[in-house]
Amino acid sequence: MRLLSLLVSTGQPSLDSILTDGYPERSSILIVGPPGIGKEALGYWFTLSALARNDFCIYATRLSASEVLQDARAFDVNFSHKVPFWFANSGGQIKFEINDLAKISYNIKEVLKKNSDRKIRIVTDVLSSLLMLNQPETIYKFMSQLFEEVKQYDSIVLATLEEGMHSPNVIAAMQQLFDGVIELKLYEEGLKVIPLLRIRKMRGTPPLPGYFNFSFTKNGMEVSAYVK
Amino acid sequence: MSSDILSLVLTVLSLIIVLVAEGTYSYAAYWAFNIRRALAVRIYRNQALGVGLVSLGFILIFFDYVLVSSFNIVIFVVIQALVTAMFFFFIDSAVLDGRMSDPLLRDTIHWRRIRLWVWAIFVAASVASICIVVYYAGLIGRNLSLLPFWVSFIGSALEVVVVVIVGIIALPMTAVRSRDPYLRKQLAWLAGFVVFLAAGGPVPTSPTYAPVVFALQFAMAFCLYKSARSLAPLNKISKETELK
Repeated sequence: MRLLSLLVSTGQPSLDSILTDGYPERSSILIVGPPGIGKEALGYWFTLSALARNDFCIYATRLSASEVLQDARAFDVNFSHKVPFWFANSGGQIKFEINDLAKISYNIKEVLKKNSDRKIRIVTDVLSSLLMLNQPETIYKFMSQLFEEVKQYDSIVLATLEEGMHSPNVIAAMQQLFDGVIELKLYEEGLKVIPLLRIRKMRGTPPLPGYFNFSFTKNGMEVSAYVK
Repeated sequence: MSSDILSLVLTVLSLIIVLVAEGTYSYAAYWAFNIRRALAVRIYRNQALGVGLVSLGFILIFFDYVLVSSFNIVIFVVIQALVTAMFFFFIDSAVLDGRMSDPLLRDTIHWRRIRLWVWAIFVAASVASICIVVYYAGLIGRNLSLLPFWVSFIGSALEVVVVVIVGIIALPMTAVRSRDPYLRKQLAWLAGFVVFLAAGGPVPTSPTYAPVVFALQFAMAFCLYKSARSLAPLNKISKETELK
């Protein structure tokens, strides 16, 4: 029972069921996949469920807040009742300056301090852009320091990373930094293309060797065991 | 006698090449729609839809050219406008996709702001083309060969000019700015498609050159197929992938 209380729902029951109830508290989760596969949707659902629990949610994005809201609506995620704290290119409480790592770090720390009494959820889609604009080593250091800071609080960080836009070494190194890694990929099975999900690792969860079918429906994300 | 045999050989060869070309277009469309079904984000789904529609469009053009155009120029022009629209839809999606994969989120030629205006100009040009051809077809008949060249040219060129201008300006910039290797590969194959399409222009339409024309069609179809396969990284299912 004590272990279960340290897990936070992903926002999708089908994903919770394969993760033994969700993401571990005080963890960092990386969602890796090619463009267009729906990585950001996991972030939207996580944010929505966290907002419903009155957790403090930060959405850090290189897009404008309106673009994210529009994309989220395509997955039937509506932030109109409760909204996250936006670090966005425009339309947010704080402008996200993608070329200024020091400012990003400072802003996040300030917001964390002001909300230290609450559970904090940080969702971000900026990792790939940061890696493309900076040396990978700089971003490893930046992320390590950020995690050190963030994990002082009751928090979870969920980040997405574009597969294909970084070398395998960079992706492997980023995966090392995170406590949990969920991989979404497209597979060719004969003449069909099927999206599959794999839990590469998740702190506190036994290794899950298999692949899982996933799809996005009006009810959210449906995940089932993959059988050829 | 020998000219009859040569004619027969050329006909058979042309038939084989055209069947392979049309089959390749169909295969390209199949993969584009297949990948589209697996994607979740609208911009990328639209891009896959664009490739699929262009592939289907060129199948349509072929059947229209072979079966219909000698009978009805109006249908020919309408189909051509439709196929050009499909191409424009692909260009629109590719430029929007390119922005998402640019770390600086640059809006190539301010496309997000101007695209609806350009679409309006494109639709107006297409309608104008069709109206001009319908008017002249009403005057002198619907047989393609009876229309003055300038009418045929305007009937097909107006909307094509819009697409070509946008494509020539926006797509190379998109390819340079995007960090998505799959988008770049896709655009590279699309460039190959356009090169072969343009190369078919100067080739005479006499039956002697039919194998050349159809071979170019096959090359175009192959480029579209490779473009479709580059829509997303596809991994192979191995024994390791199966659930134990």
